[in-house]
Formats: sequence, C-alpha cells, structure tokens
Amino acid sequence: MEKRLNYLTAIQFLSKYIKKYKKNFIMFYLGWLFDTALAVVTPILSGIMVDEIIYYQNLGTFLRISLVFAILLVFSCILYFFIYAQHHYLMNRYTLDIRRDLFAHFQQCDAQYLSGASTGDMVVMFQDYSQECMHFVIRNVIHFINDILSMAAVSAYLFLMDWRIGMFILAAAPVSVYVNIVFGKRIRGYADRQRDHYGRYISWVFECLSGLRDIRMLGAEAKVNREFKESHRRMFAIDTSSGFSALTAENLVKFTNLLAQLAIFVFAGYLAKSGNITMGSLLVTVAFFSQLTSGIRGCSNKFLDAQNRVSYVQRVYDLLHSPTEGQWKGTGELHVTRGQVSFRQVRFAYDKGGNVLEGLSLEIPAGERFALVGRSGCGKTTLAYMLMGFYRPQEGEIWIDGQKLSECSLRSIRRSIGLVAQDVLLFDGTIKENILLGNKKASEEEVLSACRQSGLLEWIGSLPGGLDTVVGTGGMGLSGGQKQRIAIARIYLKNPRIIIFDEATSALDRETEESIHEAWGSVLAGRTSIMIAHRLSTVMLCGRAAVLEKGRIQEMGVPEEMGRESETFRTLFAIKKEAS
Amino acid sequence: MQKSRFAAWYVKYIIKSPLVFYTFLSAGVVLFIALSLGVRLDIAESTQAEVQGQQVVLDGEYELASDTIYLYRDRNEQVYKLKVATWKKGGGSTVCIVEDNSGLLGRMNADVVTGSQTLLERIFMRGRQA
Repeated sequence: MEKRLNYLTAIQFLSKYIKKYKKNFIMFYLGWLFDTALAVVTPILSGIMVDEIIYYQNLGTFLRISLVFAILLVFSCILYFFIYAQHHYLMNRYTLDIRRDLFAHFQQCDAQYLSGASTGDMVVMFQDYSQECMHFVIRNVIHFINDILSMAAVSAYLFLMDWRIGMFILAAAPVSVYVNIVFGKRIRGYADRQRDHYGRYISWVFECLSGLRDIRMLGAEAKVNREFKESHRRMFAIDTSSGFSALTAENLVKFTNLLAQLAIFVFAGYLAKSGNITMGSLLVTVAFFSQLTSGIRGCSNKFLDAQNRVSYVQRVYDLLHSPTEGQWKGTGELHVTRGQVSFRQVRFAYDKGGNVLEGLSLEIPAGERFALVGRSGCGKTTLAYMLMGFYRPQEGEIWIDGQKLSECSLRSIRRSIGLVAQDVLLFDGTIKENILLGNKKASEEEVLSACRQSGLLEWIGSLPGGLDTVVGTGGMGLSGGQKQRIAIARIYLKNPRIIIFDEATSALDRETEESIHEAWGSVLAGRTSIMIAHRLSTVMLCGRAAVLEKGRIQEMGVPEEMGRESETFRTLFAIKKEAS
Repeated sequence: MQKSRFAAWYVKYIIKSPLVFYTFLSAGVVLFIALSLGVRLDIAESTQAEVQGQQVVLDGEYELASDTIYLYRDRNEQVYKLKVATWKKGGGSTVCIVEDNSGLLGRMNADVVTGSQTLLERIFMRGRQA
C-alpha cells in the first residue's frame, strides 16, 4: 500500500477529477446550498404564519406569506431538477474518467504486479469502486458540508431565539462528535478487511464459474459449496462487526440527541405556556431541533460511512500508484537482424515467494528452433516473457543481437518478437480485423498471403462473408485450430525475427496439431523460435532442447539424443527406455 | 445514432452552461427578496391593561400604529381583537376607547401594534418579541 488515505487525503486524491468538472461541481454545490437555505427559511415562515392567524387573525397577512411559501416550494422543485441534472452528468463523467484511468493503468500495469493481483478484485474495482469514489465526493463531502452549514444556521437561530435552548444543543454536540471519532476508526478497519476479502471472494467466484464443468467432473460440488459458505461466513462476520459498530455509534448519538430533545421540548413547552414564546416560535423550535437532530444523525452516518468509502478510494489509489511498465528505463531502439538471444546469470523472483530463476545462463543462436521443457511452474513461461519485457530480472542481463534488453524500449522489443500462446485473443470483429492486429498497416494482398501461408485461405473462401466474417462473442465461434492459424497469420504480418510459442498446440488434438506444425514450417524458416511445450511432437521440431529445473538449465541437447540418454527428459515425456 | 436536438440543447444549456442555472438562482433570490419586502407584518409589544367598560388603560405610553389591540388572559387560549376608536397617551399610560369590549372586564394582558416590519426583516431577526 503506497500510503494510507484518510478523509482529507482521499479528497486530495480525488480533487484532480473534481477540478476537471469544477464548473459543474460549483453548480451542483450551489444548488444544494440554496436547498439547505430553503430548508432553514421554510419553518420560520410557518412559525410566522401560525402566529399571524392563531393570535392575530390576520388572514390577509397569512395568505400573503402563504404565497411566498408556495413560490419558494415551486422554486425548490425547479432547483431539484437542476441539481439532479448535474448529479447524473457528474456521476457518469466523473466515474467514466476514473474508469478510464484505471483501464489505462491496467494496460500499463507491471506484469509482476498483475501476477499477484486477482481478476475479481480488479473487476470489482473497475466497476464498483470507481462509482464509490463519486458517492464519496457527493455524499460524504458535499452533503456533509451542507449538513454542517444547516446545523450551524439552525443552532445559531435557536440560540438567538433563546440562549437557554442553545445551551442544550451545545451540551449534546460534543458527545456526538466524540462517539463518531471513536467508532469511525473501528469502522475503517473493518472496511479495509471487508474490501480485501471481497476482492478475493469475487476472484474465487470467477474461477468457479469458468470451471463449472471441471467441478462437476471431479465431483467437487460439495467442497466448492463448503468454500462458498465459508467465504460468506467470513464476510458476514466482518459485516456484522462493522454493522454493530455503526449501529452502536448511531444509537449512542440518537440517545444523546433524544435526551437533549426531551429537555428542549419540556423547556420550550414551559416557555410557551408561560407566554414567553409564541406558538409559532415553539413550532420553529420543534422543527429546527428536529432538523438539527436529523442533521447530527446524518453527519454521523456520513462520517462513519466515509470511513467505509475511504477504503474503496484507497483501493483505487493503490492501483493507480502501482508499478507500471512506464518504469521500464530502456529507451533505445532494438534492432534485430539475426535473432541471437542470450540470457546471462539471470535471477528472478516474484514478489511473494522464492527465486524462480537462479543464475540462469543460456545462449540461443540466430535462426535456431529451441525448446524449453520442464515441470509446470519451473519458470519456462517466465523466462520467455522476460524476453518480451514483461518481467525484469533482479540480477543478470538479457541480450538480443548484442544489445542489452534493459536499454531498449518496450515498444521496440515487442515489435521485434512475436508470441503465439495457447489462448489466442480474438476481439469481437471481422477475421480481417483480427489478423490485422499483427500489422495494422498491412495491405489486402499481404493479409491474403498471410492467410495462405497459415492455411486459412481455403476455409475463409468457404465463408459467405469471407475475410469480413464477424467472429467473437457476437459472431462466429472458431475452433482451437482456426484460432491458432489466425495467430500464425498475425505472425506473418508482424514478421518478427524471434517467435515464442507458449504451449501453442497443447489444447489441440494430434491431427490438428500436425497440420498446425506444417503451417509453422514456413513461418519458422530463418527465424529464431523458442518453444515452450509439454508435447514431445512439438519438442521434436526443434534443433535443441533445454530442461529447466530449480531455476537453472539442468540438461541441454538434441531432443532425439536426450530421449535416449536423459532420464529427466524421458520422465517428462513418459518415454520408455529402449531395451539395450 | 441520430442525436436528439433536445438532448443536445439540454446538455448545452442545462448541463454545460451555467447561464441558465445562475439566471434561475438570481431570479429566485430577487423574487424572494421582492416578495418578502412587499409583505409587512405588525410589530406588537406586550403589556398589562385594565379594562373598564369601553375604556382600556394600557400600562406605559405607546404610539399605536394600528387601530387594533389584542387582549387576553392566556394567549394560547383566547385572544380578543378589539377595534380602537380613539386613544391618548400621557401620565405613564395610554388610554384607548374601544368600540366593543366583548364583555371584558378587569386586569388583562394586551398586545399593542407599535409599528411594522417587512417579512424579510422578521425572518432574519430574532422573531416576535413576546
């Protein structure tokens, strides 16, 4: 956590969004201020009307004041229209700005930070917490200020009416303030715990929903249900503690106000009976004191509620201050002419946990097909992704064609390296738009050539829409093999000297895999390729393979030879030793 | 998507431009002030009075601003509105001759109208003097 926000620093953090809509916030605030002023004036008018008609039977004056009252009410209704127009506008635009910043930050987030973050947490942050930032500004700042101003005006008027009534108020106010401060701290603590747990819970739900079939196949429904109940039990426990604190604070404030209210009503009633104040003044006293108590309760709730909301703002703040790729120091241009890759004494660890790579050194000559194999979690993908600048080694260096990767810009690095992963990202759009992600400036002929090389052309020709066929959630679904061919077509358009295949064909059947391997044939010619694979058929396409274990290269050699001579290699691929 | 002309007008004049809003607020304030200045309320002072037939003797010398005085024993029960035909102050008291004394007799409380103020003054002052 960068720094712990409090009420004031939360406002400071959100002020950059407020400044952008300064004009609208001023209009919004003025609207509420006038509404507050009307709320103070209308009981006074009522009091005067009551006195004029009850004591002095001045019907004419009563009706004239009624007219003023009615006009103020109409004014108030039109004022609400303006207020809520601004509210809706600000709610949408302000929230949109925060979400835009969050989304932009997600895109730039350091991969190391992302590897420790939970998806559910980020979705909730993006969708809900951004809105809570706006609620914080409106309810816990603007309305809070107005409530205080209203209470000050009402207290001042009551004091001026009779200083003894004012003293009752002064006696009650400090108790309310003290209660709020003490309970406010407690509630903030609960709110932070609640946010942490909720984010983890949402991530867990995401995983369950995406793995429902697996849950059923494994017969793990009971286990998942137990975990679901346990998660809710924990959230309920935190909610209960937080709610109990809030309720206790609220009721202590209410009780204090009630005592003050009883004292004031008894005293004001005595004054009215003895003729020291009029019925109208009594009415104003009762109305104002009700306004005051509801104002105190409102302020109390808003203050306690603010502690809860500040924890939402804190999460948004933490994310927007998390490490980004903008902290990558390299600015030079990476020029890859041959594709020689060199890892020298590379050490890497994620934030939580021990070293994944331990002083690893590896040379991959230009144009070689190189396989990286090893048990799951040994660091194969991490090593490959370090080549693309997603992770920075804590020690050691990575070189490409004699250039230090750390001195090159991320843009030039990623322009020079292609990635074909197991899950091919398809956006909702046409086939052509998806292929053009490899090179947005490619011509129609280049796209068709890429489709031919990747084996897509025949299939596209059979579609009524051809290249303009829409794919994705709103359009046609594609098989694993078709998606892989689109990935290959992208590589053709991108034309990088180095290509990384990260378990690209793991999810495909053998026949499809073989046809994909054939399509790879021409794309791999003259390029350096690093293949991360669990399948022997993929490894056998390579000239050399390395076994990664305990963060280092344990063995390296020609795959066929390793299949005969290396126990580790044979175990990994379940190869039976040939009888001698 | 065709943009509604009304929507464009709404955003331009209600949301983005402060002109309409500030004009409305200013008009509201001016109207309230004008109306409040236009409504006049009596300023009444309370005193003791002795009712003797058509004659009501007020304790203290007062300049009556209205031809009405209000008599009562308990203000919260019954207040008698009496029309004053003539009045004269002097010798530490004010003698009022009323047209109809409503059968009242003896020592009572009285509210006497000694001036007037605008509604605006009444709202922002402490309230009627009891």
